[in-house]
Amino acid sequence: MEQSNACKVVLLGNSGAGKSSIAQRFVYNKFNVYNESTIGASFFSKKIVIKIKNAIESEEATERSVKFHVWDTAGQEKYHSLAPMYYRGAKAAILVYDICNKPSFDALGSWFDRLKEFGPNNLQHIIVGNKCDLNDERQVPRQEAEVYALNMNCLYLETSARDNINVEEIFQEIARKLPENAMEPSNNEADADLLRLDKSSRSIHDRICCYS
Amino acid sequence: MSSAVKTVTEERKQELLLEARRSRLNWIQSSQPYKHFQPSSHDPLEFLKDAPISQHLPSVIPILRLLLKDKPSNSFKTQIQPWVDSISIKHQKQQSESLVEALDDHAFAFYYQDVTARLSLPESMDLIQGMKHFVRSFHSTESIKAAVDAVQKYMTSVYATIATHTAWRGDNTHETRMMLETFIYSKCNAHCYELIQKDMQETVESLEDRLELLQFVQPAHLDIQFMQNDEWKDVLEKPISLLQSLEHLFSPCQMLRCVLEIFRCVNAALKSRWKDMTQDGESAKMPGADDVLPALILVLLAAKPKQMECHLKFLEEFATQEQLRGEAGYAFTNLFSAVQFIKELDLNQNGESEAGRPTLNIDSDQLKQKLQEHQEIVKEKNAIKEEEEEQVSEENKDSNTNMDGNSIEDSLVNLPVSDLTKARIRGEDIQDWLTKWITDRLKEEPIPKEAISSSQTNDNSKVDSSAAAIAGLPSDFKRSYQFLSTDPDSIRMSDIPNLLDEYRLLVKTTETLIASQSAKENENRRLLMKQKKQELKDSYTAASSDLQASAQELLD
Repeated sequence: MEQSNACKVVLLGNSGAGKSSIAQRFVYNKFNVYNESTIGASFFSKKIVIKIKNAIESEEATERSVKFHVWDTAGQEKYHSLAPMYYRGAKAAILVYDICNKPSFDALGSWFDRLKEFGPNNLQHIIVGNKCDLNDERQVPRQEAEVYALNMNCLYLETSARDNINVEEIFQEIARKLPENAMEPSNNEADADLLRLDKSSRSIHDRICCYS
Repeated sequence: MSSAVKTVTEERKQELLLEARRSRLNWIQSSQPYKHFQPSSHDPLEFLKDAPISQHLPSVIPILRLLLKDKPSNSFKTQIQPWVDSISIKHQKQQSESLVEALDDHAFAFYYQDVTARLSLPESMDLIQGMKHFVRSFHSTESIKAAVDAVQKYMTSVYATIATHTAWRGDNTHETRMMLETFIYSKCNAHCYELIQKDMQETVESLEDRLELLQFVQPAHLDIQFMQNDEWKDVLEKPISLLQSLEHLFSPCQMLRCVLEIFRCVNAALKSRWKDMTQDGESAKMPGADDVLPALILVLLAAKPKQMECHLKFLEEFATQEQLRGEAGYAFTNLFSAVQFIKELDLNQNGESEAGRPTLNIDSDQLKQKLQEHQEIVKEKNAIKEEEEEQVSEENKDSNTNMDGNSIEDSLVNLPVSDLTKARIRGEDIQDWLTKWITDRLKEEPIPKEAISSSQTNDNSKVDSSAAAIAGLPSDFKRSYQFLSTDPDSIRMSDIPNLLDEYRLLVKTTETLIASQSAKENENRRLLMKQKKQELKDSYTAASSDLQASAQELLD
């Protein structure tokens, strides 16, 4: 049995932590390559299918397909106060920091404060320490981050968008934890519209010819 | 066998039906949300330019001169007016063409025509009647929430109707829905904005003023890596013109599509800049959310759109959840954030910024200097604007004083009916009495300006109501006839009480008029009788004195 759901996820964190790279790796499986098919480099959408084990062991595992809408935010200090507008209707917030940059980790506190104040209820939080391929330059010990995540009662993952480590896992975890009732049905028509809008104007004209 | 009396003949019925249909078609065609995309067929300048002789001339001016040569000079202005008009139409067309190019709305104009063609089918009569009824009731909604609920509920019911409607054959595609929404909003949009403006609080400093004040802002002030300080306006030209065109759009779906297009154009501009930079051997981080928002702020600053906050509020309230999802929702949020950034921007010139408020990358002395410079400019611009406004009101005043006596009487004087009646009873000449009364009043207090302007804006169906008082009509009588131009088809059961009220008022008015007319006639007759009596009396006196004189003569 397959269920289809839409889920909005917002990426937060300081500039340079690698938010966009994580999103690009997840959606296009590419790193720092500006793909021709990329429309924008700040809004991403991708559908994944995960298997969820049933409580009753004898029954078959349920398949759940989740369509992610990933909203990236500006990381510069001057735009931080605008982030709450991006939370609206989000199901999960991914807080990204750079393990080689202590200030980006220290900034998580203020991100959490703002999320607490303005974020929607039942918003999943995930802390992601990016650039784990650069372990030699690490400034934030893994243990410290894990303890912090434990205190904030959220999941912690270390990723590398460059080496494709743990990126897909972030989204699988989110999809798995999504409560059934919290998801909006993925409206096929709206999705089709998204695809249609992506097409070049020429294809619209082609359709006119068919229509007339 | 008595035959039934036919109140309406077959021909008359046909005639009425045709009339109703014509009115429906007019109603459909009076909305033209895609009017930019219809070719104007009557452009005389275009016609001249296409003429073979024009191919050999540098411009059409020599032909124009030739055409107008033999005309007397005083009619020159009237002769040239059509050409002036056609040039301004052409200018508008050019503007809209740039919009068309950016939005590629030819396709949508096509879909819109298709939808109106189907609305015009006789089979769609019930749909149109329903729409007219909805639009009428929509204009009486008093809160934004009620309006949103009403229009969204109605749109859902329209989609449900067309799914099974014979004229639409179950066509429920995205385009059809979008064009139906556009059609409905083209009728409702003005009322939506009225409600929004009522709801919006007046801020001390308007967004327009703030945008004007911040014209010195350059990419470097906003942490943006892809734009050099001098070239950004060229690179972002297309999104800038798109943002300026937002005010010409009607429906949330149309506007959101424009917002999405702005967002994509900004992305495309950033992408091409990044490509140029990396080709030149510079290493640059790929453009992402860090660049999109600041670039959008630049677009906002350059476009200086009018009523931006109203547009955003309109979209926020009237767009459905479904429409605000996905990339369009993201684009909208970014535009919203850009406006918020400008509004929240800390322009404290003492260098002590409030915590949590965004700032520009600029040192406080420089900011102070720039702000002062631009404040001067804003002041100057506002002064010019005020001067122009004053001029306009001055002209209005002039035209008011030029009005002839009758129109002043009609428009501003609220006559006390009792005084008028007393005057009539006294048998005074009403016209003379009126003139005297008005001159006295004008001495006491000058004419209020609003009274003049409001009476000028009255349309045909609502003829000035204060005029009613002059003729001594019932106090509740207004010369506004709700159903004067209503066709029989669009009268609903709910209209009947109003119709009856209006009828009763008209009867009352007619009776009053007849009574006053007969009173006047009686008065005249009384005067006439009095006069005759006097004449008789005079002639009697004369005759009797004559008689007396002749009798005296005889006696003598």
